[in-house]
Amino acid sequence: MKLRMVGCSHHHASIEVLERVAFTPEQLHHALTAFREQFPDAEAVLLSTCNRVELYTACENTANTPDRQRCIAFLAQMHQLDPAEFDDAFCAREGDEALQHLFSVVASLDSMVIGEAQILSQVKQAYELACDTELTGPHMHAAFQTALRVAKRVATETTLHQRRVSIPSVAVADFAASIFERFDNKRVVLIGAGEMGEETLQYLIAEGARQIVIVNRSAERATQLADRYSGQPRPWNELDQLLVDADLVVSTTGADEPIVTLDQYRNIEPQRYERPLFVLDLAVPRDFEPAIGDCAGVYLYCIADLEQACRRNQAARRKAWPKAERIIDEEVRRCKTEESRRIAGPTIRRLKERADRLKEDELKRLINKLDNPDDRVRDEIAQSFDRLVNKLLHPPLESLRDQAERGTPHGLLAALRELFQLKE
Amino acid sequence: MLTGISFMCFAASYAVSLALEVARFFTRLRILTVLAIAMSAAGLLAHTVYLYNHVQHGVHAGQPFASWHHWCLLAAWFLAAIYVGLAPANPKTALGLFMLPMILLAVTIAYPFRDVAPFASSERYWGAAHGMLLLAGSVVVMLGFISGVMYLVQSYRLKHKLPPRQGLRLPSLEWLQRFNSRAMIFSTSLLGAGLLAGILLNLSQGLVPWTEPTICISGLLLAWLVIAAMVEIFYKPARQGAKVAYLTVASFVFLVIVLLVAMFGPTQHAGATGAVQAGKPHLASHASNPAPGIPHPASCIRPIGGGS
Repeated sequence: MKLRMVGCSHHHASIEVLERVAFTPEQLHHALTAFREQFPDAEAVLLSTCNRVELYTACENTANTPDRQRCIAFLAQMHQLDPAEFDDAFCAREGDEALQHLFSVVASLDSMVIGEAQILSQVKQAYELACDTELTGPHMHAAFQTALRVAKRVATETTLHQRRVSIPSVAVADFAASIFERFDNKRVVLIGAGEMGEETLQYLIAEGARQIVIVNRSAERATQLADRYSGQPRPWNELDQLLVDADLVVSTTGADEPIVTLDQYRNIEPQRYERPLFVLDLAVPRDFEPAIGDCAGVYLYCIADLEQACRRNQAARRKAWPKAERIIDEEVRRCKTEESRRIAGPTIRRLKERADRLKEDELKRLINKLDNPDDRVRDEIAQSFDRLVNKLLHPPLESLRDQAERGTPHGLLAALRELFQLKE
Repeated sequence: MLTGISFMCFAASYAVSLALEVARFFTRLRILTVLAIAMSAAGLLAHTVYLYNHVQHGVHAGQPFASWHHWCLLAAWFLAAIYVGLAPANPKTALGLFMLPMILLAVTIAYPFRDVAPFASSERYWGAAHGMLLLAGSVVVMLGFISGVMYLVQSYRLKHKLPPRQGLRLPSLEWLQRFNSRAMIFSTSLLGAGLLAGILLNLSQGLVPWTEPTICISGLLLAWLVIAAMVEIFYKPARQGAKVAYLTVASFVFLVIVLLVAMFGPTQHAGATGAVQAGKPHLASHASNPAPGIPHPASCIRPIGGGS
């Protein structure tokens, strides 16, 4: 495989470097157009996510494929940066290694959070953008279409993606969804306007939550958040009444002591009639007194409870790793074989054509000498010639196929071309 | 039709299906779910053929479905049909783990009664209504119990912050609570209507044996269910959370007591007094015949128009 990858990721590059070399969608389009102008013979796909920037290139003639330095220089040029600054952060992979890397990336084995689902759509988008910019050819199509198939296989044949590992996703999918059948008729109260609360809100909205109330000491921040998620900002002094009506509470304030004590909850408890209340206390220190979790109908989860669940899920994902790697190795081998067959194809075709031509000439001469043999004799002779040619060609072609299973048989191909004087 | 099908055919199918459900705890193989459902479906088919053969035989004798054996098997059949109907749409939910033991329990109880003589015939229309309504009510109580236990297991997991266990995925608390409430109301209505049909049946024959133990305890069961349903409807806190689950579990315990009294107790209503002694059913036809004027629910479950 003539694939080459030059890029940097969270493994070797700092977040500052990644931020500087990352591309926005508009910049990506511009960069791909510029690449086509600079390297007209090369195929390319540029993948840019928050954790990686990778440029995949390939060329029919390997000599025309831009090398590591030229790729780094190109990426730096797109950001008007000095390439020397980033040289250490970038790595390069070639051939099978590049292919294996691409498969690991798309299957989410190379992600910061193993098994996260976004990378697949990001790779798909990068490939589609390259197709739109007419930067793809047979090499990129083969590599990326196989990569998408690998991702699908890993997703369906392993449990790598089945368990959630981020705190908000675990809270919503593993716990809230076990309490509530649907979320569109549930009242969600977000206390505080922290980042994790906002992320949890996104998961809840994805599950169908529509009635969202945001309470924050800073009314301005609550209003901003409410506007963004079609919620309702409410003043802090209404908190008790909001807890009476709530089905789900997500709390992420930076308060030093609990904002809801057991006594406070006991006061509002009779008004709830033991209706289930899911409380997600994501604040450190906690916003809800832990004893509230013992009240009837209350399911109180703090960040430590969820971290434990996340760790268990991460361990479960790690167990699926060897199987995912086996799938990737298998697909790399298959690509290699297909590539070898593709390379050997023209030589085999020429060899067969040459043998057929010789057979036809000799057959014609013999038929002329035999003085009008009948059709049955003619067929017998033709079949006999066919068998002879096939038997002669079978061992070299079989050896070629066997070699192709292990890699491109350059030596054998050269020998065949030399021995049978096969011209390009 | 398929006269070679025996009791063991479907009992073994349900048992294997349960074993496959339990195996899902240890492995994630999807084939186990498919096999479990397939085994239950095969069991249900054999169960249906077995009951059909018995109906045919009973019609000739004038008493189809006229024993505890058939009553228990019919209850198991309804539960199995519900399971086979629901499981393919909910392959990840551990329905079988909760429903199959109940099906096997009903089938196991039916077994010792297989040779017990049928009960005496009684009035056709009220009798059929009496038997069918009590059977339907009992099945709904069993379903309520199953969902109640599921609720308590799910609630325990969530209170203790345990992750969803492989092979033990359950419906949400909200769904289970709604199902429990409905089961409570439906079972009360069906059992109430069944008892009323029994009273009308007795009245049509001139006498209601009010002091008969099964009637008394059935009346108590109905009273319990009515009170539980009223509490559930009118007392707001009882509508929420584990309380409904506890009510449905208690209703099932009550139902079991009623059935035990009816099957084994010193009651003429049962018609099976002493039928099972030391684990062996005997064919005491005299014991299987109720006192004149006292119908037996099971004796009444037969097609209208069947011989009487």
